[in-house]
Amino acid sequence: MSMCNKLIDYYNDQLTSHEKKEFEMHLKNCQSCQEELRELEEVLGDLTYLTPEQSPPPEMKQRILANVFEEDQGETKREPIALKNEKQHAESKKSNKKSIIIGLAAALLLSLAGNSYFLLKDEDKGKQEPNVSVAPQNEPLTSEKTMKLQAEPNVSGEATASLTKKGGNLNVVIQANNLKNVKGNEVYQVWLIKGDKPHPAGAFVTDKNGNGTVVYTMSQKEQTEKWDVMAITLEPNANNKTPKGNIVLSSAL
Amino acid sequence: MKEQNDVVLYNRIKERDKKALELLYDKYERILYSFVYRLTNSSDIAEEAVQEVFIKLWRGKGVYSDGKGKFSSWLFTITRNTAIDIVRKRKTDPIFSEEIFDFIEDDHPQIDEQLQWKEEQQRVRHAVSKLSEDQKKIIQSVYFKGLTQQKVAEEQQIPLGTVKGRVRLALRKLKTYLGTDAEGRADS
Repeated sequence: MSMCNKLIDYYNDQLTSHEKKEFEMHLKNCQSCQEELRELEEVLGDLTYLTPEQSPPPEMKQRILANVFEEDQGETKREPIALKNEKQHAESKKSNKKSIIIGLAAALLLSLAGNSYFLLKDEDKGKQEPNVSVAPQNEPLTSEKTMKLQAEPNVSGEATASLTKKGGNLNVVIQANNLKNVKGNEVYQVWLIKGDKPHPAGAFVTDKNGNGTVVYTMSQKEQTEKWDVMAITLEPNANNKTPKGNIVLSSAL
Repeated sequence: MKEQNDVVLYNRIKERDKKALELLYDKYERILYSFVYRLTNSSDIAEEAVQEVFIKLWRGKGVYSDGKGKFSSWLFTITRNTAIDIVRKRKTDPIFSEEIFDFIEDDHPQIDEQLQWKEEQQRVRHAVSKLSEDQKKIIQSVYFKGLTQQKVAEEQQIPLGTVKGRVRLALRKLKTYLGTDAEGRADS
């Protein structure tokens, strides 16, 4: 087949890498192929408008823009798309979560108290002062930093949480490794906790090697909050407004 | 969908203007997502492809110039290639689903009144309606199924050497009926 006859396969990216290079060399010098390629791209491109409409997931824009600008930093992995569903569900309700959470504060405290020794190690758990962390003075999470989350006793795995600024937004990027694999509907849920009030901040599932990643974009209000603790629980299912599972990893903020 | 604005936005993106990227994103999110969804029948691949496209734009990996024709067509080409690439990496088979083009063969297709790209769709449907059945099929095989020339020939039961010529004839006809828009001018 002469070079010119490889145009359509080139257009459809069906050539081997060797053939592709050969064709690109040819293309530089073949005006008729250049014209035909442009014609293919331009005319067939218009056919895209025949596509019927399919609504993207509501949180897709937020996720994609966070990941696009994330690339700038070159320091964090992008969230695998396969994880998006859990995250989407977790995030889709966040707008009305706060009031629910406040109302359930007492119940949450109980659910957390059994497995979150770090929250209570030297503080009275009934107090509202956000002073339980090891940090001398809590500040809003506005500065970029990376911290390591500690595994609970009898729990394998480790995770880091990186705070990265993206325009006016602050993203929390969690990268976890060597976790126990999720089963069934289980998800790893990230929480930001102030006092006794946990606030969901993204969820992820592990790949077959027990690794998982999630990028969570904080709202303006979340950014001004003085969070005490970040924790990851293994939840029996996604979308829990409050922790139902055990804490596996955590860090004071 | 004004083309000139796209090029302005594209140039601002090259200057690292995040707002420009967001504006371009808002304009094309729906059609790019819908397009890949129809090609792959996968919402995951659709989102991944849209994300990859905007990462390419932001990183300056995809370079647009006037010589490349209409901005929208260029963007659709990148999106399509990105989708092909993802499908290949994931080893999902077959690449594109079969029924994508069916509504073109329908004589009385309904246009969704709410469709964001309704005007463009009307224009393209009109042009496609001028093609012969064989031409529609060959264009469908090339664009929406992404088949190799060999497979197109087999599917159409025509000699391999005639595929390219037939595609070209169909393109010419489409171009005529698509009007000035295929000439790289503003399409609003």
